[in-house]
Amino acid sequence: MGLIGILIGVVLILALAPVVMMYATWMERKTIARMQDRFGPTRVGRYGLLQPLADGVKMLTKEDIVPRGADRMAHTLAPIVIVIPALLLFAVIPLGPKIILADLNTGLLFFLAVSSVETLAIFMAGWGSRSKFSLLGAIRSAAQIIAYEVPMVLNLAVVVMMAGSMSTAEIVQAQTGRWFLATPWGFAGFAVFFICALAEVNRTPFDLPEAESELVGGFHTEYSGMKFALFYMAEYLSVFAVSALGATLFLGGWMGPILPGWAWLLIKTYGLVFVMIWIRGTWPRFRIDQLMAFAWKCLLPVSLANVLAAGVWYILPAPWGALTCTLLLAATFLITSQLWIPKARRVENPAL
Amino acid sequence: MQLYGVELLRGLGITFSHFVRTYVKGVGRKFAQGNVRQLPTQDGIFTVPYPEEKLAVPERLRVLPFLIYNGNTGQPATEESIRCTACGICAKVCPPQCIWIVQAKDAVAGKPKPKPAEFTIDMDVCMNCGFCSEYCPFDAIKMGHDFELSNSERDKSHIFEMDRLLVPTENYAKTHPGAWAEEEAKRQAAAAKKAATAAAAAAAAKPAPGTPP
Amino acid sequence: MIEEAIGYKINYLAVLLLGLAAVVVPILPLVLAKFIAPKKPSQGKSEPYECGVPSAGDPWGQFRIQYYLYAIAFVVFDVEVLFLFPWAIVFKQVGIAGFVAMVVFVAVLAIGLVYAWRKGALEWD
Repeated sequence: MGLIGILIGVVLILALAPVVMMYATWMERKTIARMQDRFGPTRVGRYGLLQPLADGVKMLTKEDIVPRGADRMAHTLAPIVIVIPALLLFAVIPLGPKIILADLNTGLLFFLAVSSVETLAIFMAGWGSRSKFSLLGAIRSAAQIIAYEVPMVLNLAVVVMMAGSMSTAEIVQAQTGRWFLATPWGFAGFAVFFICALAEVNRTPFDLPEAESELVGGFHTEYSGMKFALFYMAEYLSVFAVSALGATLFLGGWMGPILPGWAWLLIKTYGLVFVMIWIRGTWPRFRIDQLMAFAWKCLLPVSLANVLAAGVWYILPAPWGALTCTLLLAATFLITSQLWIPKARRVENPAL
Repeated sequence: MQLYGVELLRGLGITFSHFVRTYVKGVGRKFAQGNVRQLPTQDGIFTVPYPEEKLAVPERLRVLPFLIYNGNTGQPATEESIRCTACGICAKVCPPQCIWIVQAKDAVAGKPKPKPAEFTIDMDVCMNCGFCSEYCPFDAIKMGHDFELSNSERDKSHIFEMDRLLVPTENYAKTHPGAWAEEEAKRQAAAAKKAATAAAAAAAAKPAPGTPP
Repeated sequence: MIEEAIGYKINYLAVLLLGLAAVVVPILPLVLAKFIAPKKPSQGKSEPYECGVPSAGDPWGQFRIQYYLYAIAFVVFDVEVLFLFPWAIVFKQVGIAGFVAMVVFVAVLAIGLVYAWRKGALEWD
């Protein structure tokens, strides 16, 4: 990979990312509309395909309003700071054995570190707006992202254990013959990873930081015009990046018959993006106490158990390892899932 | 002990079945039968492309009130033809108080006349309850169907004056045929009753021929 | 060539280049919007949103202590989890002894979790 290759990669990522983001919004609107027996956008272009462009033009021509008393510096910087890490994430997504912008030997760690920067931007946005809704959304977001970071990192550690490397390309290579999803620890790891990914990118059912119906947008309540659009750009780019990471770590990345590697990765990534949209079209939102309890009391014990289960799976001979691993995980899930639900408050006077 | 998550998966199943059904069932942008978009028994996706095609509104839809005058379409309203008598009942019962009436005065004597000189409704304040038309003793104010009221000027055009509110009876009979027939029947019954009482009174006053005084 | 001179660091150079170039993506539309978007500031518009009523009090005040407890719990667990990564990479080489050592480590983590749980640090109210 020479300098020319790097430049081509950089330009490709930067040119394609906005397009990917725009059509992710189109895909989301169309899919959810179909789930609700509607058509979704149909007016601008055939099948509403030009709708994202129309939205972009609209955002460009909207006034940028900064609330009185806001911390102007933080308010303006936040949308810029949130987009850059979302773009950087794509550097470590391998599209093929050699098609990767930066095959870092710490790729996974890089992904985690860079995606955490988004929390900072969200907090800047909430704090800088000097609005109660924004600040509440930002604090919730910070609490939520750090809570779901722990089980996510634990499950990524399991993947690293089995692949013996933190390089995303080598992790895909380690899945030759069998996707990690097809093992008991891989299945549990993928489930926990996917749930945490939903929380990390603030998607339903973990969209409390931007809950439209209670916080009117949360951290971006006070944003309008292009700055508002940038938050959406970052959100959809993160959705895409995190789905690509899920496909890379558990679904065999670029591996697949007949089609070229990048096509397989795109298919798997869009599959996961579809599941995220599907979930948004189905499930209601968590309550904040349930949200925290779920992360700390259910996902965290299951993730800790998964580290042990994966070790047992590797050390014991094949049938016994798989059996013990499955039993261990199932038992932990069954026990913790009974414990995490916050107890319903006693009704003092049921007659009323 | 309860197994959690099963119902969540069931929910996913339901939305996915809807997602698939929109592609295999339903009439889409076409008509199911004649000019009917979707039959009551039909499943799946259908649509009415709104600004080009509008759904028929039910007769009793209430949007904004309007005033009625006796006359045909195109005929201008005169003071006599306006049914409103400026009694002010509608303004009194209006919960958000959006009706404002000024009573007309006799040009010569300056005495108040039972006619409105000004009748104003603030459409931003109106809450479409229809109390005004329920309470009006003269069938002079009715609830209209026009729901496409948005425009880009809100300071002047949202205050409806008489010229915007007056509607001839012919138009009313067209848009509200059921209500019109009902009211006409009532009016005719009342008129017949009035005529009968008048005849009876006349008969009582004038002794019938052939009867000794 | 430059590639040989800096070796594997070329990957980090790629990340650096992407990071520098990525700044353009958010700034370009912002600058564009600066020229295109209308500017009609008014008193009511610049008011922070609070459901249409005048805002009461400064939002930069105190908030729930619970967030802080969760943050502490996060720091504890995240740092410990990071110790897992070096072990995870060599997991297949260190054998059963290494695994048992890590079981002890994870057990300590789990005890910490149980402790926080029993102390009520993970309760919302």
